Amino acid sequence: MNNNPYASFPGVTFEEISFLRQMTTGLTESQNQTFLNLYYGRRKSPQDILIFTLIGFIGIAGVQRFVVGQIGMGIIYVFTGGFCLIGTIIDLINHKSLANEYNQKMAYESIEIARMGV
Amino acid sequence: MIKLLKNNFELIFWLMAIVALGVTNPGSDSHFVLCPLRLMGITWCPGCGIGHAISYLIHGDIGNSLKAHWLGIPALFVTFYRIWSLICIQIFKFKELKTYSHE
Repeated sequence: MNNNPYASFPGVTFEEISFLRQMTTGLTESQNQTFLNLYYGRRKSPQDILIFTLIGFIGIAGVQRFVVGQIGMGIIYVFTGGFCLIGTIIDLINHKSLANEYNQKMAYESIEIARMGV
Repeated sequence: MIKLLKNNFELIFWLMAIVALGVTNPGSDSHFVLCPLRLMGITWCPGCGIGHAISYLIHGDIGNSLKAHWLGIPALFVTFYRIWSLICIQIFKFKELKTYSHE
């Protein structure tokens, strides 16, 4: 098995690699493979979140919040132009931790499925 | 210190926004305007009045809040929910580290 399979994920951060390492310690080889496949399909690259945030400056704000699964926040963003642009700027600065938060949630989900499967 | 600020950036921002809106008086006309659109000279914006609405709401004036922006009440609730979930994430993170080190 490749020594560090997470390094090939697009836009991966140090934080993401460290929590993935920590979570997958107890897994068997095949569970690990299932986890990798599931997680790769679910994760969002921080760059995608950044691009969705940038749409807020020229069109509809708050797409990034919907993508990340925060529906309530997304609705407020859409109807108030991203809290009068300030929210959009905040998400611009914060896009990496938004992505990490979502990815962490997806990692928990995938690891549960991987454990169930085998 | 800087690391703490960086990691909890969103949480600190929302908390400060709520506190700032609670402290300022929405009735007075000439308070400091942060809105970048207003500073650029554009007067119309779909979010205009949301700050006033939340501020009125914190001061307990629901009628004026609805008049300023009809989304004030849901916005305040959603913001509180977001603050709560951010705090939960922080607590959860520490717990997770402990259980995994025992495994």
